[in-house]
Amino acid sequence: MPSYTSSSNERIPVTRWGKVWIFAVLLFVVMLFAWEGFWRWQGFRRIPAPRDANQWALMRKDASRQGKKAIVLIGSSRVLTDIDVEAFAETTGVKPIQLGLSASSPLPILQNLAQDESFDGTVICDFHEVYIYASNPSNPEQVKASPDEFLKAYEERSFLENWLPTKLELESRNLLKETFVFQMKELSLSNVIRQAVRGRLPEKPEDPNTRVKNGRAIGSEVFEDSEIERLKKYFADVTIDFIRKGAMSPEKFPRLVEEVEQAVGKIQGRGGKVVLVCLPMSGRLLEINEQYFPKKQYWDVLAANTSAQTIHFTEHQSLAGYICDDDSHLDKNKAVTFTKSLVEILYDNYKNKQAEDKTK
Amino acid sequence: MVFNSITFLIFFAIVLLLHNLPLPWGIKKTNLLIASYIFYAAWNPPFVILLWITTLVDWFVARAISNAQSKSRKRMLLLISVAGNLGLLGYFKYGSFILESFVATLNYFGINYHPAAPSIILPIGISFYTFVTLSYTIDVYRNEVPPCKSFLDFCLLVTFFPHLVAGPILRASDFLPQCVTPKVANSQQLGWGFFLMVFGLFEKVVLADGLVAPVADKLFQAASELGFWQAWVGTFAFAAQIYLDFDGYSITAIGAAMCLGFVFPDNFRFPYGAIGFSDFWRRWHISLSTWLRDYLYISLGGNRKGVSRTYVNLMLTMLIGGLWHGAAWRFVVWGGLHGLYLVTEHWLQGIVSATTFMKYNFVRIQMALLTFLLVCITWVFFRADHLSDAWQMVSAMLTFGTPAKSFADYNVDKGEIRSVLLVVLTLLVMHWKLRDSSLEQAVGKTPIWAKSMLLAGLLWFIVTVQGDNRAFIYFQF
Repeated sequence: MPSYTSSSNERIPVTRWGKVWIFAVLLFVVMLFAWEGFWRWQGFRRIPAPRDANQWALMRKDASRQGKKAIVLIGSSRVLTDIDVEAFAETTGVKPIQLGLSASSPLPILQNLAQDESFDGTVICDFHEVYIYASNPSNPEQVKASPDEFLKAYEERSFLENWLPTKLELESRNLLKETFVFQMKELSLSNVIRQAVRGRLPEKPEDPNTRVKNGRAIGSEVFEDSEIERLKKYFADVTIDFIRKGAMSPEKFPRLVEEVEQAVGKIQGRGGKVVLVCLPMSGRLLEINEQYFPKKQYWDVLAANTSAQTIHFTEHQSLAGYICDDDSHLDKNKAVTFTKSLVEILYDNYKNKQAEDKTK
Repeated sequence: MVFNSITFLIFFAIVLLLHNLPLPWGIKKTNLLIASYIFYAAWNPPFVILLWITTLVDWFVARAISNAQSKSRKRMLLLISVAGNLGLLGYFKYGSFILESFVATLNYFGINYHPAAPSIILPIGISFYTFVTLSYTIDVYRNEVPPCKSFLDFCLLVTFFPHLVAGPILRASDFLPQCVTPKVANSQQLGWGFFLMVFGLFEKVVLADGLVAPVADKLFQAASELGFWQAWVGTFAFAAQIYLDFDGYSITAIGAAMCLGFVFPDNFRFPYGAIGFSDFWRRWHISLSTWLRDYLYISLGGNRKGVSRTYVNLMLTMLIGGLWHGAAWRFVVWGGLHGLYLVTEHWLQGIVSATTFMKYNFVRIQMALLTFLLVCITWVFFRADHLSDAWQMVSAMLTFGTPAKSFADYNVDKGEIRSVLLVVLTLLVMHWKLRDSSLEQAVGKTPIWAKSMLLAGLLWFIVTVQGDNRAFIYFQF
């Protein structure tokens, strides 16, 4: 056995490495495209992947970097579906940073922004009752309300992750994922092997862009009527289940308001702005919310005790009257008009505030 | 920065480009040094200061040792280096462990002591670069290596990025002579260096992360409740994972260094083809095992002070070797088991002559399999989250433990089990077949078209597999 200190130079397999590598790379390219072509031929199509914690962490970093001009959206799925980022940018000239996370409470993110001395931009926070009250959920399985994984990725990012190389890393990986069908999780090597052992090919995921011709587009997905009904029931059930667990009550509410105000105070204290928004709901979900979280006892108390600007969809004619197809989210078309109306209100409030400040 | 990232590919491409520009050798070495600091700082910049401290202490101490006239002064200077290096390692790596063990001992005797939990971050690679600098100073003390004349070369020895965070642990005598004359890889070195990098990444990304690590993770999460088969499958999965992960890293490091014209020592020699434990440790993490042999076992007296003392020295070396891997009792048990195996093997060699049996291939295979299975048992302590989990898992492996749940309950399906068994079986066969050979020889015998096909296949697997992009296991040590 050669000694470990023996020179590896003396043991390099002597061959025409240039030739080896040229053939290898050519063959590799052919194999790669054959693999891609095979799956496309089998009917696989790219579906956008949900964003991961690292991508979120980079956007969160952008919020700090942009300083005063940063407009940050935080909240749960409603902020993702109801506020159209492109429409917002078109109207204001500023593209907001979308930090919303589905089924998640924005409170830890608001607090994280408040702790960040370098952040002095504007926060638009979707104040969704179910999730905002679920910052410390009694049943995390039922209500995945904590964005811990995402905040952890932000807190633990390494020094270089603020730099170009990591952006390049994420962008290249995303580009790969968005370009090649074989990057879909259904076509991971382990899944392909697992299915091959059973003598079959991996199943195609349903493509939301093609599976329903006349479905309703909510966020990046399209739902058919039966699914919409199921979603309505799901949202109602989650809300009721959560309420039954007694996570929030009018007695506990002032404490939450205090927590929110502490975070708001910190951001506004250094020149930033916070806007708390209650986004539209409809149907059964609206009834449940009004029954268990009456506006007078909750929202109005919050509005009276916070220094943040507050916008409730029922208080503004241009925001009221929207019907959510699944009771909880606006579809794509409605989101565009809703966003434009919301921006107008924000702009009016801003002008009024400036006029008030001048009078003082 | 990890090797299995696009960031590293870009970084390495820039370093390679700079290294091949027509610049003076001193500038090229400075470029490599700066690149190495950037590589390390990518994780946490302030800890570069630790690297500087270690480098400076050993640079000055080694020179002072060389200039010292008296033996006692030399010894005192060596003690300063050992205390400095082990002090840093002790604080950052073992601070929390020592405090926890101290508190547990006090609590055991009914003394209620609950200090605030220390918040100590373990600097990545500290165990590796500490051993590099320590070996240099000891070599100078022993007059085996002259003190390095170039501070730049010494900094590069400590910091050169391919080995910095997970080895192989370099020796001054191997590396410093390579810094004297300009080094740029020739076409053979470049071809083979890139081949090694692709091969190493294949081991890590495809086999370790893609096929075996998910099974090991799922089963070790439930280590305390596994049945016989589940415990063995989990252990086999981890045995394959740790080899493929660490060998993958080492081979990539050797390949990267070779592309820059430098030669690194081998770190693995088909360890799962080993017959017995002395043989295993000549094949597993060779740069560490030889370090422990040369600077610990021999310093303790080695086998020069009688049989009993040899056994004690072996046990001590392996216990410390275990603790080197991590600040936890389970690593001590892991080292202790290996020490016990080595002592038993030495004892048996003293009373039984194995040469007659060992000439039969059948017996040799049986012994290699027994060695592998006994090594697998030690891996349980290495991987389990808690010592108690490890004991329960080993107990299930040795006593045909009845499973509380099925594989499916742990989200492990038949395809995954077959993948693990296939990977382990392939490793065993390959390691046995190549145990007296080397990767270089195996590839050397392959025709050009087969080399191209192999490379294309490896590249294809690396790009198409979708692992979790995990860090290398040995980064935590």
